[in-house]
Amino acid sequence: MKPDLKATPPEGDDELLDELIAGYFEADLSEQQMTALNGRLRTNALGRQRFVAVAMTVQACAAAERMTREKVIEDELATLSVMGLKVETAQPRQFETDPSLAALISLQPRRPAAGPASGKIPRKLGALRLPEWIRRAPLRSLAAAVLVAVSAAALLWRQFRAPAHSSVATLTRAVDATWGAQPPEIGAHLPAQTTLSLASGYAELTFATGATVVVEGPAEFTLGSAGTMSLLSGKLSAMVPPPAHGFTVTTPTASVTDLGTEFGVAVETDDRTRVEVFVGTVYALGVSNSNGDTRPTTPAQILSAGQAAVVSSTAVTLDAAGSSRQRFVRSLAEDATVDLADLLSGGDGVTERRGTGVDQTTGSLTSRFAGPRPAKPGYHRVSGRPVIDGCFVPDGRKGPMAIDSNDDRFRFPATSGLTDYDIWAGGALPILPTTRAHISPRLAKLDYSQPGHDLIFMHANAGVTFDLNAIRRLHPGMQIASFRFTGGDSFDVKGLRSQVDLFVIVNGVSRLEQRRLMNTEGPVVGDVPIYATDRFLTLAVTEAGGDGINGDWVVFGDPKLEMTVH
Amino acid sequence: MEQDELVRLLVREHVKLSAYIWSFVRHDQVTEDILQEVSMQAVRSQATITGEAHLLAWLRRVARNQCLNSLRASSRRTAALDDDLLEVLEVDWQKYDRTSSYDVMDALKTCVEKLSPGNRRLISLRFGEDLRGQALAARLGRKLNAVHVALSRVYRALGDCIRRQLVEEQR
Repeated sequence: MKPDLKATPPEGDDELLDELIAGYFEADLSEQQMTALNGRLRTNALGRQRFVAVAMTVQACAAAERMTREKVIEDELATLSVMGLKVETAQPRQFETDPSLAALISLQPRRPAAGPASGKIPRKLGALRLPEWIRRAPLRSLAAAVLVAVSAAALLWRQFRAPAHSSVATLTRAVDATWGAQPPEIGAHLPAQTTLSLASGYAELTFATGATVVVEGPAEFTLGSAGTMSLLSGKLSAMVPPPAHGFTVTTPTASVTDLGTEFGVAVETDDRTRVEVFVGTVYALGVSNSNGDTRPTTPAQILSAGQAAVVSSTAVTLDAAGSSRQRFVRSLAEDATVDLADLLSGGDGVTERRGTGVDQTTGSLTSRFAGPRPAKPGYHRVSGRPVIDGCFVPDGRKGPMAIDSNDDRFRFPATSGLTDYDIWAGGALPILPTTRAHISPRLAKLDYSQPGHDLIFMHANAGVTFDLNAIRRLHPGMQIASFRFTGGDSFDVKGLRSQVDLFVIVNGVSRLEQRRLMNTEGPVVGDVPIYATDRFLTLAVTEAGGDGINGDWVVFGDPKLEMTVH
Repeated sequence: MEQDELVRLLVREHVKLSAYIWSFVRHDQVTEDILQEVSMQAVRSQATITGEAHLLAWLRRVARNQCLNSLRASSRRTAALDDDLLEVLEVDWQKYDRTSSYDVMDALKTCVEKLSPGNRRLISLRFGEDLRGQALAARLGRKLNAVHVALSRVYRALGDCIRRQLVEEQR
């Protein structure tokens, strides 16, 4: 590492500071670099947060690895037994890919069961290694040595609580941001009463309390005292960890206070604010503003995860459509992958949501996994999921057919025009395996419905189209490099064959086709490049071999968009 | 504080306290030794520790003193962060007080799975095979500087991801 240490870099020069932090923890910084690290951390609140997060990350990785190596020995169990602690067995999950990674991440201590200790100790603790000090500790008669007086600890506690600097928030990231007058620099410590105008792009603010806010331009906002801000126009999302609970956003018509949550606020008009809750709860109430004095004008309404409301100065009105993570940018983090099953289920691609179906015959969303129904011709838009453009039943008998809202057309093979079940994003399939054993989420014995994996499950004939631009809007600063998946015919009845055609289409042009894919064959591993000008990504499955649609089940396993930094 | 409650919390805090100690000494064996010593002192001082919050602050305080003593006794003193900076960093460590090590490990598992295959391999080599510095660079066939940059990005991505996961945990 050879950072330029002579120049005085801007505060919050994230990448260089990240390298210094990594170098520090790899124990090979020069004295000059140590000086630079000390100086930068001293003036950079986000850098200090990252320093702690990296230490935590590295030790968690190291702990995970230690757990794979250590064996539980009998006296550790005996020690636990004496202490009456109950520790459950941690069963390592079997990974069928990358064994070195499996060793790193699959083994970890399970949470001790809640409730009174039973004293029942399992014979094996799986991978949980107990610390050496447990065996060495004087368990029966403990000396009453006072090492830290209670009063001293109280002082220490207050010292921890004291603010480290006078700013209330730091501008920690910005993507494509253009500002009004006096644009702040990344890393700028912003004092209370700072008003900023974000003409376009995105800005991330990290409050001293720990709350993180992503503002989407055009927007104008003012920082209040610690843990408050006013959104005069525009929209924001807030992620509030426990120490920052109580974080409050006021708008011209609303006051929204976090009760431990993640939420979005959008000033839609001068007399209308939209509030959406993604995690936890908030309370929201209507307010009036006069000469800088904000007064409540409605009773407070508690909003829980999944709920949305429109708040005016006269009423808080629930919106039955609920909240959508796809209407707000929740993070400017550089996510390496975006998960299509999560997107289909209403997430932003990194929230691991599962369990939503799309009816390819109508475009309606469903939480069921409905069976046969008559196909309706045409392309069906999907409402309520901005990233899902639409869906359809592929049928080439009448020539090329529309497969996206731009009327891009594709000529599928001639099919029966029939279809079955919904397009499903899982997670688990909502079907009893005892009654429908042939409906299988497995390819090459790997079950993509299990935790750690995900899938889009489709029965011929079906197709679904994603709006890549809508996905890009959720991840500013990132570009989509490729679409990767493992796909195949998963029909699973011994002695019976089925075959399908599988398509990955971009802007109406095939980018991957696998014809006559048999359930007896191994899966296809797809790695489809995605370019900046690509707008629509379509996944489609059709019957093949002239044997109708029976048994034509297809798994798109671990369907991910690989992301890179702009 | 009751004895079994104290021990339960020590087990729960294991990874977090290791991270705190390691951030000072950056040496696995020294970290383990200090962790054991601090934990034993806590058990001996059980009667004087009034609750969970008290314990967490107490552990860091004692651990910090032990770490600084260890660094003074070694030749690594020049590699320590400045004392006033350590004071400021305490605020950031405190933010994890309501998070258990189990939460951190759960989050790590989720976040590692989100890494690209290349970054997973990097993490796997770094911790699974304990490769560092030139050895890690040689294994990857890359320059040391490139490996440092790659590690710093992975650490940052994991750190940010873990922070987000911990918020999800409050769901």
